[in-house]
Amino acid sequence: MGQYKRSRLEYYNWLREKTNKLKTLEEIIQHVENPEQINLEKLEHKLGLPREILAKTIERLYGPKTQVSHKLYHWWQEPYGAKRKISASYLHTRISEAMKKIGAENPTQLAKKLNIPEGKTSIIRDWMKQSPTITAKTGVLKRILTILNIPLEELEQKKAILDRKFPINLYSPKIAKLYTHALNEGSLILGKTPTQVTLRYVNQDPVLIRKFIDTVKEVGGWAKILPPQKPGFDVYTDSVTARIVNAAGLPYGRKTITDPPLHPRILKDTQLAKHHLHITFLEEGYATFSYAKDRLQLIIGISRSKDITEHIPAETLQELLKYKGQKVQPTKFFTKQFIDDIFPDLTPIALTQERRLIEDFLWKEFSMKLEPKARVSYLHISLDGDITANYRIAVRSEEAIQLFKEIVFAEPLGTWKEYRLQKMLEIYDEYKGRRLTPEEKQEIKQQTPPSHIPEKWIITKARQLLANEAPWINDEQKIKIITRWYKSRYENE
Amino acid sequence: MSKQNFRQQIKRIFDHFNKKTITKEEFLGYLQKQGYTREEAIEIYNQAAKEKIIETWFITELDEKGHTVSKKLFVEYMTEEDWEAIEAIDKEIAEREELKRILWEEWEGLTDEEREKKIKEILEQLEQE
Repeated sequence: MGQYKRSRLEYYNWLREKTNKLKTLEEIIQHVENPEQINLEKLEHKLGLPREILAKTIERLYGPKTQVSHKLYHWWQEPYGAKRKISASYLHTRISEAMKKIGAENPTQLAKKLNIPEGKTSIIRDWMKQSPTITAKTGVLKRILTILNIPLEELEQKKAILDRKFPINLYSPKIAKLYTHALNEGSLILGKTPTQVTLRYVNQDPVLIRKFIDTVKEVGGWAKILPPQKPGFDVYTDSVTARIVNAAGLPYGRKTITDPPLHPRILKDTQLAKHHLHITFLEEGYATFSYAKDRLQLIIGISRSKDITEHIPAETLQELLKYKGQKVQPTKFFTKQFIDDIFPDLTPIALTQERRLIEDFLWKEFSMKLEPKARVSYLHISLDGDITANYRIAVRSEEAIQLFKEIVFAEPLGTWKEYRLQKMLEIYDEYKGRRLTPEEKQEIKQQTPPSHIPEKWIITKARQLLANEAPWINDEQKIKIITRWYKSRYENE
Repeated sequence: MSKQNFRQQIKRIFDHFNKKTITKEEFLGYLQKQGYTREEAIEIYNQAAKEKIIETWFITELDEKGHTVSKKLFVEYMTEEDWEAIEAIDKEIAEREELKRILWEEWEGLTDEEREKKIKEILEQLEQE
């Protein structure tokens, strides 16, 4: 081939490569809806391009700060120090094969061949002695497999990881359900290092504790109930479960500050949305009776809190700080203008999304255009000086009550709140649609179960559902640590 | 103007729309049509809120990033019964939130060091079991 022809061929190859790169860039730009939050799997599926190329191009296009979210959580995304149990028979065979391919008989030779410090490969010696399982730190395992040219995915494909099934689909219904519990009554707690993490879940109703523990088990983790200290059951999960919930989008720390959204799948999956509203009603919801022109109304809603400290003018903040540990009405401290201008903008994201879900269900299932409205119930000033605003939404129409009835009782769990709502619905059906006398109002009050969970209920349910996990539940004195708060507070009612 | 007359004046706004809840703009717009300036209408709105004749509700819409992109303010004509309902709900929420705070408070006032120590203790306890 002549010099000219060769140079033309090289030029065309270069041009083709450039054109392809440009096409990739254009395609990425076209398919990325939000450059700050890119779902790599979604893009991979749409464009049919290898993940590595996509990741690199995205970083070039949008910079390193772009949050690339993953649908799958792989073992190598775990922190360096997270320990994995690996099948020794698999790893021994694969290491031997890979070393042979490189032409090394032992880790020392391997290091020399690859021109890397011996310390980087010496762990192989320890691993070859371990059987039937090898305990390895994620970071070290990743390094050795990379050195030996063993694809990281292979461990997942061959099911060589024994302590947990990887990869984990962060968009699966199981994870979305766990996310809901964590968003409502849970908190992701981060210690000194990324390996020291846990998901804490606290609830007074043993039925919800049971549900939470089962949901954690369904995603392959475990949850343990700690001995009682407070008027509620205190559950902690393994660290992988906590990191999975974090990878699925729930930040570490106080939710009143981080203001997390719902799990994205909930917004796209009707069944999951209903499940979310069911669990959220049980964990963050309320139901109460009221009267309009002496006619009975049933009001159902959800509330969530948000830290608004940084939005409060310094002078007002000083005033509010005089009420540490108390709750106050916003109208006492803010002008109406401030309340109208600032408070709506700070509505918790999850509550806004939940309002939208309710609105959509009412429209789809009842052809009813109803927009559940929000208000700030009160402000709470913590002992640390943080101001949180409690936002709530409420519905009271027949259709909305019907919707909640269907959502809550499609698959009831047996919680106190479900029992209470069932009774309230029965009362509502009996008394609704007519003017009530003061005597009838009194009857309703007497028939309505209390919102706090009775001591007997807690003890019975805890013994039925949690005694295997926490044998202390059978100890009369210990279980009373959970119930005594209610007793002291409500025994006169 | 007496309190009773002021309430009647506000009620007329809602009667005009034949609704218990109207938008804030409808509320102010009606007053402006009656000859009040915008500032005077806002004054009346503020006064009505202060005297608990009305209550404001809101609806917000979010963009993809979770930022509020639009908000609508609604004004509800409030009776004593309505305030009783609000109080009943607020009471129930406040009780539940108080309990939540008790359950979570042990984490709140902690310094970073104390927090780390506590997490370490819990994790150790979990591993022992």
